[in-house]
Formats: sequence, structure tokens, C-alpha cells
Amino acid sequence: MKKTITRALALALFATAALGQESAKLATQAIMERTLNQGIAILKDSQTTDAQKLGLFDGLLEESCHTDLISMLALGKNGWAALDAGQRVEFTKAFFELMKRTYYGKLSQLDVTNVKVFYRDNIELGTAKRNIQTTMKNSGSGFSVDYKFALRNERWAIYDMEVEGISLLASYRSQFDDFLKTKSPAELIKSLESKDQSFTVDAFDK
Amino acid sequence: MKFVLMTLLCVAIASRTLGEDDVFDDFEDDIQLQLGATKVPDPLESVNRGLYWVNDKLYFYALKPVSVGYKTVMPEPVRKSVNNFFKNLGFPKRVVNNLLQMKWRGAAGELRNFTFNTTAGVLGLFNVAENYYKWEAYDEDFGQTLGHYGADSWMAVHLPLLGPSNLRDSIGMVPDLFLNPVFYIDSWGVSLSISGGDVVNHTSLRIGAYEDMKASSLDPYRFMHDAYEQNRSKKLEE
Repeated sequence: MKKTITRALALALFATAALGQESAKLATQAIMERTLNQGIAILKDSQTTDAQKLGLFDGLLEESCHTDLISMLALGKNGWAALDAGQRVEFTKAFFELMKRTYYGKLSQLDVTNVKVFYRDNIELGTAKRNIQTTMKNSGSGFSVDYKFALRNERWAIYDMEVEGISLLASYRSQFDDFLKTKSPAELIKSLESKDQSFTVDAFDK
Repeated sequence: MKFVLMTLLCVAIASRTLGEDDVFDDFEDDIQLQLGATKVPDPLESVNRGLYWVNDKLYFYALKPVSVGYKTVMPEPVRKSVNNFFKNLGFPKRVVNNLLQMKWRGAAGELRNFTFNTTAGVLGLFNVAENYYKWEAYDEDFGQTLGHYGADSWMAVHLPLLGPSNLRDSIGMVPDLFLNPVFYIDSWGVSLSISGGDVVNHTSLRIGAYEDMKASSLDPYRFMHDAYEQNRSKKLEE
């Protein structure tokens, strides 16, 4: 009897884990599709200005990304520890703004009327992490875009993006590490804020 | 069985009670793995940064104005066809490097794509293989061939006009040059003009990408080299 109960419990746990995997797959897929569809819809709207579009991207990315986790991981353990509570908030805000403008800049370069996204795979990366692998095709040329998701506070959201193998997190970590070798965290925040402003001036002058 | 149950329960509980340190530990391996690809020595950094500065000025004061002018007079479908034509000319390089790496499927795929693009695609002006048949390209070069047989990146190199690279890939460009049909045109002037035309045409299709990269990075030189190494590392894995 005892053995049967133990087996039933083990089976139930494995079944729950399998169901959890499937629901995680569906949840991440849904976030992915919603983010891309809404992002492309925002870009396609010819009635809105660049500033308005950026505003709409704000809400979209807040909803689909772990902004706090991305900031922590981009700085790394030591870099994050060097920031006080106020600086962490400032850093997260400035870094999110930069990422938003970068993502918007990349998408706005595409011929949005002719973008197709092909889902290649949705794989488990370990405990509460998944990777959705896609190929984005635009006017014939294709490039791989991987979206990495993490489950935090009961919410699946993106924590890294890899375009043709180039990780957003790793690229910024490398730059922040170099920067903090010679400069202070306050200077880093200031530098990010000035980047955000220069983006406003230069980025759309193409 | 009890052990399995206890382990599963512990994992379930632990995953819900992660502290800040655990969060870093949980993700650090992935990031370090990715960063490992970018850790290429840069003993010539000051020279490389100087060449980056020169290339940057050349882009903004020469290549970009010419490409913008060309873009204004040349319709996009024509520029895309020119791009397809030059991409098709890269067939010898791709097929030879697929063969050197014993990637038979890649070599066969490239031969198939070249045949269809050159015939049905009118000398490669239309990429029917990718656009119509959805056949993938198998892009390989000699730098990847060297990497395939274990050659490291060795050190970062910033090439005049060409931008970020490493010593392995820079050496790899030499045999690739001999596989470029344009190299065999008798007149150097004509050969260089054709190659220059390819660069201008290609740039006209990507205006804004370099500006975006600069605007979004704290150190564009570092970013370019990190991105280059990450991208090459991914290609070597494929």
C-alpha cells in the first residue's frame, strides 16, 4: 500500500513537471508572439511619430522583459554590489531606456511590411529558463534571433536576446566591466543617460 | 523512490526561494560561456583603435555620403538584385570551404543554390533558392575552416576599411581572395572598382545599422570586437 502511494505520488510529480514544461512552453511562446506582433504593429502605424512609437514600446517591453534582472545581470555581481539602492534604480532606468531605443532602432530598420518570423524551437535551459529560437526574414535575408526567458515572481519574461549569436547581456557586461575598471558607478549612470540623449538626436538621422 | 521524491520537492522549494546571490549564480554560467567567446587578446589595441577611428571617419565622410547618393538614384529592388549577384559570386569560396570542412551537405546545398540562382535567377540577380524554394545558404570561409580544425582567434585585429577581425580570420581572407572571381579580372582598376561598387551597394542597404551600434554602446570599438567574436563563435558551432 505504502509503495503504491509512493509510486502514485512520484507519478503525479512527474506528470506535474511535464505539464509545467508544456505550460511554460505555451506561456513563453504567447509572450513572444504578442511582443513581436505588437512591436511590428506599432512600427507599421504611419500615423504615429517616432516619439509616440517609443512611448508605446515602453509599455510593451516593460510587460515582456525582466528589466530589473537584465540590469543586474548586465552589471554582474560585483558591479551591482557597488551600486547603492538609489543608483540601482537610476541605472535600471537609464539602461532600460538605452535597450528600448536600441531594440526600436533595430526593428525600425526592417521593412516591416515584409517581416516574417519562423519559430525554430522552444527549449528548456535549466530551472525556470527557456530559449525561443527564431529566424527573422526580411526581404529575403534571414537572421537568427533567440529570446531567453526566465520565470521570476511567477512571471515568464525575457532576460536576454541573441541576434546571430550576439548576446545583448554579454555585450553590455563586457563594456560595463571595462568601464568600471577605471570609472565609478556614478559615471557609468551618467554615461548611459548621455547616451540616451544622444540617441534622440542622432539615431533617426539616417 | 523516496530519494527521488525528496529531491524533486527540494528543487521545487529551492526554485521559489532564490536570493540575490543565487540569482547571479543561476545565470552566471551562461553569461560567462558567452563572454568566453569574446576574450581574445588585444595586444595591438592602440593601433587597432587608431584604425577604428580612421574607418569611422571614412564611413561618415566617404562611404556613407556615396551610399546615400547611390540609394537616392537606385531603386531598392535593383540594389537587392546587385547584392544577390555579388552573393552568388561568393559560391566558390563557400563550396570550397564546405568541402575543406567535410560538410558534404553544405557543399551540395551551395552547388544546388548556385545552379538555381544562376539559371532561374538570371545570373544570380534573383535569389530564387532562398526566396522561392526556401533553401538555406551554407556560408563558410577559410577563417571558419581554420577554426573548424582547432585554430584559435589568436588576437584581435582591426583591418583598414574592413573593420573588426582576428588574426585567424585575417589570414583566412588570403585564400578566400583567390576564390573570388573578381580577383581574376586582368585590370586591377576594374577589379577594385567592382569590389568598391559591391561595398557601396551593400552599405546602401544597411544605412543606419552602424549609427545604431555606435549610439547604443558605451565603447563602440569594444562592442564591435565582442560582437564579432560572439558571431564567429556561433558560426563555428554550426
